[in-house]
Amino acid sequence: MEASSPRRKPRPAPAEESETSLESLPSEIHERIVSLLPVRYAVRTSAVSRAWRRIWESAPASPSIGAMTYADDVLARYSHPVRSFFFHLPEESFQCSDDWVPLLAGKGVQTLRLHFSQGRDVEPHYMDVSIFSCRELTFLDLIGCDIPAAPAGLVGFPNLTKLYLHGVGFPDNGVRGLEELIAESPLLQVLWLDKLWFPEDEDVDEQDGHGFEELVIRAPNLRNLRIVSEYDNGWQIEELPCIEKVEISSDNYTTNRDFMRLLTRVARVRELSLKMPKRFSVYHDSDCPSPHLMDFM
Amino acid sequence: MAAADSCDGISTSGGGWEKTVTLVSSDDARFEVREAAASLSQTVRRMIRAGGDGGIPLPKVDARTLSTVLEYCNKHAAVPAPAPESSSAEAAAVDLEWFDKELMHVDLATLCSLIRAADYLEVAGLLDLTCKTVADMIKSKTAEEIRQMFGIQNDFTPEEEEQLSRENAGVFE
Repeated sequence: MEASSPRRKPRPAPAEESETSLESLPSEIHERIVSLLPVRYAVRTSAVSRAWRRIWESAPASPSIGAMTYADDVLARYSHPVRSFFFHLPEESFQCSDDWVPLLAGKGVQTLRLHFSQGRDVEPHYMDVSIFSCRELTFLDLIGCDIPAAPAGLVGFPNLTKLYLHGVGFPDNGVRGLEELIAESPLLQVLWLDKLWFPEDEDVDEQDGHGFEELVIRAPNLRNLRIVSEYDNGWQIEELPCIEKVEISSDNYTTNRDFMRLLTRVARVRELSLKMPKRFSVYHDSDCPSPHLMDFM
Repeated sequence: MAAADSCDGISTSGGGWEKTVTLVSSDDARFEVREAAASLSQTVRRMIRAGGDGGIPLPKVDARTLSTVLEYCNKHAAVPAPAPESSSAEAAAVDLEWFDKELMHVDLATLCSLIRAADYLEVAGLLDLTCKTVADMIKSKTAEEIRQMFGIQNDFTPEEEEQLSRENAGVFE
């Protein structure tokens, strides 16, 4: 209708101008755009103009919260679910996580990645027990912290599919704590355990002679397992019908672990990588549990 | 691929061929489009259902914008949903991604017109794509840079600005 009429030069034709400017778009569109930003940038838009002032607080989608100094303020002000939270914490901010985790649990966080900085003299942070209230979690990635014993009835995570633990300890209940966490997260598909620690158990030391309580991994849907440890914690694998890829690397292998049992369990995987120290010398044709396992060596 | 078409289109061309509909832009340009493509617009889909002849009037979209919207719809409707695991599905997805990227190489005014059109026509995929494009432009910019880029007036009083920077301390580094 009007589009064919030539634009007049002298005035900047306000109607046309407004039709094609970002400002002219309806507020739902502004909300939609802001909701597509990571919260850090979304918060920043509040300083653009009055019209933009409160958009981010009510933007409908659930955003990802990345590294940001004042995450607790944002978490308290943001009124919608938070899907994803990823944070590197320097030592002086470890305590902040104790405020965040309960808030995140209430906001139905699905991806939670907390990396506590690790250092020679840095005590690992003892996680708030509210971590177990994050029932919506599908991906949990923790570095450099201790996990408390789970409250009754909240042992695992019903929706968890990926679990990465690096430099994580289980001071309260040791190996059993980890075992339960895995066993009670039935949808788990990817499990990476990297340099975990458990309190030493003198009884086990005496009885079994290999110095560690045995960790048995049971996960009906697990496809990908990676274990990296300085010391062989004597982990064993059981009931992993879906397993496809296993990567195990241990710097100091204890002499009397049951290797045959471990290898028998992983014999069906598509990809197997084992890095063991030199003392690993179990292999002879005759006692290889599965002929095609030899291909990996 | 002969997709099952159970739609009761208002205008067809060629018995065994795909149904088409005619869309009319605000500046009276007529576009004949496959119904499957036009139906990516929920607004058009409803109008097709309602019936009528002489084409579907879209008084809020000019010809230039509509042709871009239809380019999007034609491309996206052309892809029959294959088995999600197949390699051809993957190739098609990559191809679409490229197409989308190319389509978004436009100036801001055009982008805003497209957002407005996608919103009015309810083409969900295009609305996502255009809003994401703007979001990517905003991302990692300061408030002042955003104002400049989009020609937005800073209408805060100095007091308000100060309050804002206090509230959001740490976010504006």
